[in-house]
Amino acid sequence: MDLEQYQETIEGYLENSLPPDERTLFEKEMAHNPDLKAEVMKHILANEAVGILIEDKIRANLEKVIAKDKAGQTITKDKKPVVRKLFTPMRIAAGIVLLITAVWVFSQFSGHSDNALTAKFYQEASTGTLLGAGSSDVTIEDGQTAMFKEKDLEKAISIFSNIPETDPNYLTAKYYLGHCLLQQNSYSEAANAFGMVYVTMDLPQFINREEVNWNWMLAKLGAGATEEAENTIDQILKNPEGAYFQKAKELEKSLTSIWR
Amino acid sequence: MKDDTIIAAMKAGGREQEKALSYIYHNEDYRKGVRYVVNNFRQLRSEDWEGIFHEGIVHLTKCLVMEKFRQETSLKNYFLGICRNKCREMVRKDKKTPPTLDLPPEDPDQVKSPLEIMLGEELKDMLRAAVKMMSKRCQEILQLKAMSYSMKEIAEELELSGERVAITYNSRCKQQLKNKLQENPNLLNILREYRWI
Repeated sequence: MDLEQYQETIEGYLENSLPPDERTLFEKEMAHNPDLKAEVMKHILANEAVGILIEDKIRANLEKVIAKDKAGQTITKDKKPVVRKLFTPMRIAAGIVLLITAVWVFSQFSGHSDNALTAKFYQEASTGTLLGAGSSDVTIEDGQTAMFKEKDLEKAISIFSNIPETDPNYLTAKYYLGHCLLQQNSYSEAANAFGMVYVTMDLPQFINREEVNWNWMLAKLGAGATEEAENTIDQILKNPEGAYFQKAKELEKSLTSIWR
Repeated sequence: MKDDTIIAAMKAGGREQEKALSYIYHNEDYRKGVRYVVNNFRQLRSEDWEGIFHEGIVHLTKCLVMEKFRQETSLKNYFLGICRNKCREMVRKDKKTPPTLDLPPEDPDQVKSPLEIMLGEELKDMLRAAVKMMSKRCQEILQLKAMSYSMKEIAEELELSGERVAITYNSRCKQQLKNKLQENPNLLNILREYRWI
């Protein structure tokens, strides 16, 4: 059977363009002719295949529209990013301001902490004539060398701590020990050392009792005995002629600062 | 955008088609209509509307491009009819009812071949593969023919020397495609399974 002659009829049948009587005739023929039916099927499949090709293109076009729509939403969202873009430098600026503020606040707070104030108002040790050598193996001169020349506070503390009570320079050793401990932030021990010196009636001449009192107060402040330290400050402030009056005023101001 | 304008734009393809697609895609009446249609199917979830909407647009455009829309109703009603059928298909798929070639078209306005109903993704892929194996020129001719271009128009569109050449090309390409389909044993098996051949 030559199916070539049927091509136009098949097309017409599938396109619904055959006149009704021709259509009926063709369907009858198809029902008795499996080859013709298969040929029609192949036509349908070929049309479907082309339809799929067209559909794919449409789908691709629709996907573009959907993508644009989503991008449009992104643009709407992008408007936020535009704002966000504006926000970004603002955020950075705000971050920097916050950081600076934090650092400043921190510095203010830390600058007004007991430890910071103790370090700030620390009064250095005086030096003077020693009262002759003791009998111990370690001498106060060794401690002085370690403290003032070598700047080795650990060593100096070790030496001053081992000066026996029998040593004529015992109080001087305690005085230097107090200074070393205060510089090492060992406030409680420093307070003990300065306290011992302060309450002693006969101090070596070079040791200034007011200075001992001042550093003792600082040691107490550093040790957290704020109330005791404030009492000492109050006492110092009662004497405007005193050597530590100005310092006491400054310290009081710092102690009453809002940053504490 | 009037129906005629949409139809013309859809047929024109390319950017014009994209504009028309965008119009329908963003048209709230079309959207509401599909939501309403989907809500009438108890078996479907309300969120299914979007998939139905997308597939409906593709199908509508295909019908417009292939000149299957006879303009007996408004484009929107025609579109909603398509979506209604898509919902039925979805329900049928969920029930796993095997498609039959005798399945009557629910909406008489819909030009939907039984094969189209039967076409699963697997079969579609086979057809797609077969048509993609053809030359670009053949694909273009067959597409234009499917879009109801006359042979004269096809000749003009593809800059062929004349109508006669377009007819010859079309005939050869169609035969080529049929041969390619016939070469695919899987495709034939499926057709036999459904007693189409």
